Amino acid sequence: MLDFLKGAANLLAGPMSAVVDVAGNALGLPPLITNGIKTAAGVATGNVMMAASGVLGVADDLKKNPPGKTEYQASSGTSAKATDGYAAASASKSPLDPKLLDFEDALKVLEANFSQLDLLDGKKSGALSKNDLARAAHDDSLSPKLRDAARFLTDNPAFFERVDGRGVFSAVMPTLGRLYNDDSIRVGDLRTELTKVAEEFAKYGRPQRPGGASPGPAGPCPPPTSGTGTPPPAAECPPRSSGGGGASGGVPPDRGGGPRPGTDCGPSTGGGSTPPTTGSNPSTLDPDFREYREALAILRDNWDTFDSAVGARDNVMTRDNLQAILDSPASSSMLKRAAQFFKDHPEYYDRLEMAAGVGERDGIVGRPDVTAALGQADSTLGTSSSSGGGRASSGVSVKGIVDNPNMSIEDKIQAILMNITTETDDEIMDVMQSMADARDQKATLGTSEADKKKGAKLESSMQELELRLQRLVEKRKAMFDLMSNMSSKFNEMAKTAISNLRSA
Amino acid sequence: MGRVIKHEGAVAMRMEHGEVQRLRSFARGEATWAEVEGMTFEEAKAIAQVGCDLAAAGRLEEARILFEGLVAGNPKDVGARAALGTVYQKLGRLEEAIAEYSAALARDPLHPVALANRGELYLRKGERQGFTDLANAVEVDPHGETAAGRRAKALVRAITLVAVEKLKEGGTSP
Repeated sequence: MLDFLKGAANLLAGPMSAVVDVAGNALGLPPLITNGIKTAAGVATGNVMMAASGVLGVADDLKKNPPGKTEYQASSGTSAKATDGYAAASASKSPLDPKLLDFEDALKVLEANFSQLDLLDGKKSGALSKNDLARAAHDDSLSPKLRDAARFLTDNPAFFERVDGRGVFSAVMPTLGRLYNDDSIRVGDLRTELTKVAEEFAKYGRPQRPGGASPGPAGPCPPPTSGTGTPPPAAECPPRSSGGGGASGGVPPDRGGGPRPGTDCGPSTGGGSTPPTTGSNPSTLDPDFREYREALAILRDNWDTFDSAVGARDNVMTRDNLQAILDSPASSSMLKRAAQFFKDHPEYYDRLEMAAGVGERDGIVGRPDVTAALGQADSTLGTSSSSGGGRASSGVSVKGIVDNPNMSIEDKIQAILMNITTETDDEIMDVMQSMADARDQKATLGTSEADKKKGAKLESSMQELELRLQRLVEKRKAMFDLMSNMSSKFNEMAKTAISNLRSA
Repeated sequence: MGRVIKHEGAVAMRMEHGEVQRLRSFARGEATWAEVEGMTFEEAKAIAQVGCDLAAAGRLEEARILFEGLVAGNPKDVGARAALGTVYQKLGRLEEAIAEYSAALARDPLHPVALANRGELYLRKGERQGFTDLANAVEVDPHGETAAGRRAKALVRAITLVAVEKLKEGGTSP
């Protein structure tokens, strides 16, 4: 296949092979090739192993990059602009209210930080009322972004009513929906509304902010969902030109589910378009969230130090422990930083305290809370950054499986079921980890009254975890049964088809 | 069957002033058909992406039709011309591929896809111009941001290694 390389080398080395420099100059080659020859000659004469690895690397590179790969690379040169010959991108023609953009932003922020807002009143109710939002809008301990999002919904009652949950029957029975209207929003309502907004944008086009430059949403490129292992070279999208790109450098968002160039391609200098997603977006996450995640990791790794900062080791932590760490001259700056974070951010302390979902808000944090909070933080960050792992990546891979043209329907079903089973496995591991933590905590308890109380609390937590584990194991079993049944059905179908063909 | 096409006369011929202007510009060769149709660069990119996907799936004829349409709509689109060249290349229509790459390079002499692929085709034909094209492709895409750029880089390295072997053989032979 690469025989032409030999011929090409003959072209290089044939007529004037004596001196590399002479060859390079005489052939009018750019210094790149001439220098390459010099380097390779040195390698070939000096270090055989290095030369061999070089050959292998080249063969590998050539294999990875087949010839004539179809890609669209807009011109970035000064002589030709990418937009030459195309109509200028006109201003948005969408009839939608530009305020919908702010509404979408607010929904994303609220969805990403829902649990934090939910805990503002000290209780985890799973819903945000108008009062909760009004409180959040004026809460100085929250980031400006969160406050703005809450304020948007309180200032715009029409938008609040759009999100306001009316129960599952409201669509078919509006009267029942009106009765159910409790002026509070749940995370599910936010997600539903986000999907609706995305659908409206897809249908009518994305409105443009008054005076805004680009209507395109910025976001990370989703991973490619094209098929795997296709014999023909895979199409690849080139990096976006920094010079061209018209107004936005992305696909107009009013293209619904249409193809999006640049979304599964190389580096981009323009704003990438991203499909409407209900997942959290890094840009909508509270800026303090990453610091919270770091503080949690420090807390987990140094739990015993935090635990014993005040008096004896009791496997629980209160605000006093944090203060003791801060006051202690012997504590490292890392520990102090984590303690300071929780002291400065009571909303995150509350969130941590309620992470395991056990008991009331009493200012006591247990090890299971830390583990649970870390898991939640990781899943939030994992979902928002789409950096793999968790439900986000599995969601993408399911889409990849569904879109894969090289898989039969049987393969797709099996692959999707396998995907779900993997998720269940991960969940089982998490539950087992929480159980182990709770058991460790229980083992350290004494016989005092307080310890007995804590023991009872842990016992109920263990029972909850056991139930959850049982449910997960049953789910896993059901999944395997389903896979097994599917396999057997497919086998039957194939056998019937073959026998029909034979008799035809 | 029996469909009657009515001539609606003036009603059908009523066109907006801007549209007439654009058609006139097209007739004079001052505007492309894409401009007449109001096609934006973003829309063209979306169509090109479909073409890339089709080519990747091995549906080369459909990809060819798409890219030919894009080039017909806007012959100034260097990216579409280079992409059409790659489709021709995979279809074995090498002369047409080279023609498309050359047309792309006439507008943008530093287009990495056109440079790399034309370079490889020239080398296959035994033409020395291929070296220059490949080397230029590596120079304009030093980090291998395009597949063609990466291919060019690997080819340059491969040719270099083979050339060195040749030089060594020449040096050892009496």
